[in-house]
Amino acid sequence: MCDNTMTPLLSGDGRDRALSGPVRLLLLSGLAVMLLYGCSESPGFDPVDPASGPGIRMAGQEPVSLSSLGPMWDAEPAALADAEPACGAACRSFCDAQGFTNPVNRALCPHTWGVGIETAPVRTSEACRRLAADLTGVLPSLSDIRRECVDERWDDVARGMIESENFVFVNQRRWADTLRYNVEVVNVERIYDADALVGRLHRGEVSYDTFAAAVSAHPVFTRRFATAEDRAEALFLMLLGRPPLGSERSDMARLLGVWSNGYVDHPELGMRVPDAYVRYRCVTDDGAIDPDSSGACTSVLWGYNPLILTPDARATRDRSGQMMWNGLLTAEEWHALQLPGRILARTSTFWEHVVDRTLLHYLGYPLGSMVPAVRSALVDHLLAHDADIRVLHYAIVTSHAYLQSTQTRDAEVPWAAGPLKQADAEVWIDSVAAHTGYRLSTCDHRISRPEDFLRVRSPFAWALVENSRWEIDGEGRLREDYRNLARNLGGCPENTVGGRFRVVSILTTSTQLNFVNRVCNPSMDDRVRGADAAALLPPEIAPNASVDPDMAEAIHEWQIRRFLGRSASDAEREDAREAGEQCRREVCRAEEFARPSCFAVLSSPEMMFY
Amino acid sequence: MSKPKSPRGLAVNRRTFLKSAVAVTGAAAFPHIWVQQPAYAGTSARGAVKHLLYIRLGGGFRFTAAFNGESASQFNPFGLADRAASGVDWGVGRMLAEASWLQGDDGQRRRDAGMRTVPDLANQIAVLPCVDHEPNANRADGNHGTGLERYLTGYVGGDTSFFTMINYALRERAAAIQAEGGIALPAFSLSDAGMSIGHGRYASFRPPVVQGDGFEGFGFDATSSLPEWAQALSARMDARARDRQNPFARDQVDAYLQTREATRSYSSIFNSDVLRIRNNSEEAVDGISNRQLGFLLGDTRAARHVRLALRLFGFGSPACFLNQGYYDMHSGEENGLPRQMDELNRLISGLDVALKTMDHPDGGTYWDHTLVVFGSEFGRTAGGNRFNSARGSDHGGDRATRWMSMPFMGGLIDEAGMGGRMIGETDRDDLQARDRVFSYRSVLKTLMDALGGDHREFFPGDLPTDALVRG
Repeated sequence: MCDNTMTPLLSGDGRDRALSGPVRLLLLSGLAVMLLYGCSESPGFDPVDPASGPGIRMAGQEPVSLSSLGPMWDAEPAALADAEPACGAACRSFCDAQGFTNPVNRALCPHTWGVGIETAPVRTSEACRRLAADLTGVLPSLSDIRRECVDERWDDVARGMIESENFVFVNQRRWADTLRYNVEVVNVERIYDADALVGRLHRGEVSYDTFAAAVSAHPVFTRRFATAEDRAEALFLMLLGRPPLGSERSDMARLLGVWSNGYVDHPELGMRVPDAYVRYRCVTDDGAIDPDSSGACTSVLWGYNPLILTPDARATRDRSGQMMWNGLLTAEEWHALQLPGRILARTSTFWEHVVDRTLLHYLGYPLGSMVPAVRSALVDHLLAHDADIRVLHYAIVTSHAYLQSTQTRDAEVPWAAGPLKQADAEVWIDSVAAHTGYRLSTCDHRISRPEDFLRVRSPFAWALVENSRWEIDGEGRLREDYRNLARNLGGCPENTVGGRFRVVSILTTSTQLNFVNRVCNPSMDDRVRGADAAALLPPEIAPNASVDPDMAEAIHEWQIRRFLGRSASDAEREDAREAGEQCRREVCRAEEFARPSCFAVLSSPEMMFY
Repeated sequence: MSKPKSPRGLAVNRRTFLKSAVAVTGAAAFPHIWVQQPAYAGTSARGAVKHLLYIRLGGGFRFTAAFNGESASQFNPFGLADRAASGVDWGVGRMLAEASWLQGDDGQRRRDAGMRTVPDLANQIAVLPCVDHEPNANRADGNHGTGLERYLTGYVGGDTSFFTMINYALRERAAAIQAEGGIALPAFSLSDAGMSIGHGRYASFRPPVVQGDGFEGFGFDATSSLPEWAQALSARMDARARDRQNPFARDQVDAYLQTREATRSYSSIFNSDVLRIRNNSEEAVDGISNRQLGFLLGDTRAARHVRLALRLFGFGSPACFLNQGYYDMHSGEENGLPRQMDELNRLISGLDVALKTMDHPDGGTYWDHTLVVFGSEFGRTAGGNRFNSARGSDHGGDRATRWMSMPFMGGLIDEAGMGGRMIGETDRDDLQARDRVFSYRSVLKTLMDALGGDHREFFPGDLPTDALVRG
């Protein structure tokens, strides 16, 4: 703690900054406070890792070894010749003979190859790009693809990515969207705790049903809603994918009515922060369970499930009765409060929904409801492997449905071609920036409104932002370049209402074109701080070299490899030569060709969709 | 401020633009065909407003301290303004008198230009003191998440924002302008994505969300930025990327390419100097310069958004949404609220002057055609005290949280003689409603109605109200 908190304050986390006077003063006072605080044994607020809540306390499990699952990648079969439109005996026999090890392939066979439908071939660069974008959050260059994917088995490639911390981060960001982390609604310590819990889920340390139970009673979820009925509605939608029936809503609300919304004066942050409380219901004035009212705290639709906590010295009283701040709950009490999630996890719909949700995420269409056998096979597969959520991801991304190419003209059904998806704002921005060396700040999904913490001018609040992924400039201001760009494109959501969106509209397209224009600077505008010319040119070509068709082809090909992760086609090379010839007539330097070419490649749909 | 000369003959204003613009945006922006059906449950003010400026007082606003000030000190610990214009029914809170921008030499110049304290112009503002998210509920929704969901969409878990509804409701008008070869900008959300939710058939009507102060980031024009050979190179790459895709995947690529084409026509708007609201230009457009707007309204983030909104109205946008302030003051409200109110008051006063100065292309001034409305996700309470233990206020389930006392001003209110009127009433001591309570959804529907939109698909259980024009 002592080292962790001192280092970033002293070194500025490795960033070169010239701090203004007031900022320096604030940081020095913060340093003094944190030295005093950080070197003590006092439990409390750690601005480097402020996670506090049920997530970090939960007992875990031994992660499933993905390599122990055996091969997940099956060779693509040729479709059964002269097949019947519906899968009969010949089809079943054909599918059995394939010996599929991937549950998606096995379940899809009677709807695809067994009935004479061909799938598209897997193209290495396309499949590798899809995997990298989905599992690690960045579109790779051709050299990345050669390093990670060429001559590798697809299950080995996918496993390597799933076992990386990038996979954990990408999924933490997804769950931030689902749970709509918002510091205006809940204590930031609970958000960090939920984020850590999501991390544990995606490292295989917590099973999905255990995770769901924890979320059902986590302040990041309960504190978002004013009433027990609203919580019941949201819990059903999140875990079962459907709204509750009237009776289900009122029954589940009996359990979720234990939560109450309040505030805590946070001594270190110097703020009054929103947080969750439990309310002692169905108890007598003496604190004993009240048999006359206990029914109001008991769910009966899925068995007899009472949820009654009894008060002790930790309780406080307000006009509505006794209550307690969630920060004082014991592990046993947290376990009791997680009853709603445990109840829903006993239903088959719970498991079907997580499968459907994951299929939809990777494929972009609802394969689970289109071919229920796939859903069923994946539920069995997940349950057979300790409900380790990574097993589900692994099976889907190594299936033919996912890996096959999008480039086919004959797809009869959606699963006979690969999925083409719009890149999330962050994936697109991060990829453009990574491949061009363009400098941008970043966004931290755990702190939706960092300015709230900077405004209070508490050293701890400042240190919280300073140690997050947000960046503060030398004048003590939040860097907003990334956030402003991402929010126009639907990313980096504040999550007050609505959250992430993914849409193609005039304004999003306009934003993308303008960003690419800024990065590539095709008009060579001196006022624009674009990417360095060296980052847009092959190493052997100097920016001021004179362009001829050969050089134009080399530059364009190099950019396609770097930005799109593939080789240029013959037609693209010819286009580049033609453009190079026109450029040569205008006495064009390499940089003057590279920048417009950069614009053409980065603004192409191939960069937006993968 | 003397009234600047009308901007006739300027290179860019709405009329000239609409005449010259090309119609290429329709398929991407408003792709749905509308068959007119005449039966609206409308008000007598239907279609009377051309522009709506909808301002959220962020974080939950203590309405009783401003627009329903005739309340006990536990609701309005700041008291009433010392004086107010005559003919004002509603309690003008002392907070509305904060006006540091009228002090000093610049303050005197603003007075000379016509700016006044809000109490002095309160007789132009009508207030609905009891607007409630759910009039039939037994308690208020004082929760940030769901309260704001209700504010932005009308419901908890609502998946269509009010401004998406506006664009959808006005789709017929947009299509008509398109058919004549023009472009009318849609409603905009300035910096808040929450006002831009929409799925399914509403998705293409989501209002653009503008981050920052303007459109500098949107004005890319390939023909001016790329040499011809590069335009050809780019077009061929796009076409090949599209043609490679299977039929199931091609639609979204097509949508991107269509919007890309459409940005060409929008770029002429987005590149307009008029929208560079911080350029300090002295050139009068619609009768007022960007510099004058800055002088009147200020240069805070909210002020810049208001200035931008007025310019977007000039390009035909029917509505703009923006946030002002952050009133979630669980602590320090006693000292913090006056500072935030000072900014809000300047916007109200500045809008009063600016809108009345600006000539509208359809005749009269923008004031005549614009409705300015303020709201928030809920009110605030101190639990029976003037302030909570941290000298702030909270939000719960009580009446102080419940009532959003929403002010309205503009030509519609003037015309109807409703300026200064309070439509509804609360008990001074316990804030019990003594008169009419309006559902928030009916207020939203009223605003859509005033804009002349087709609101029949939205909020079927709520009707627009005539109260703002008939009392």
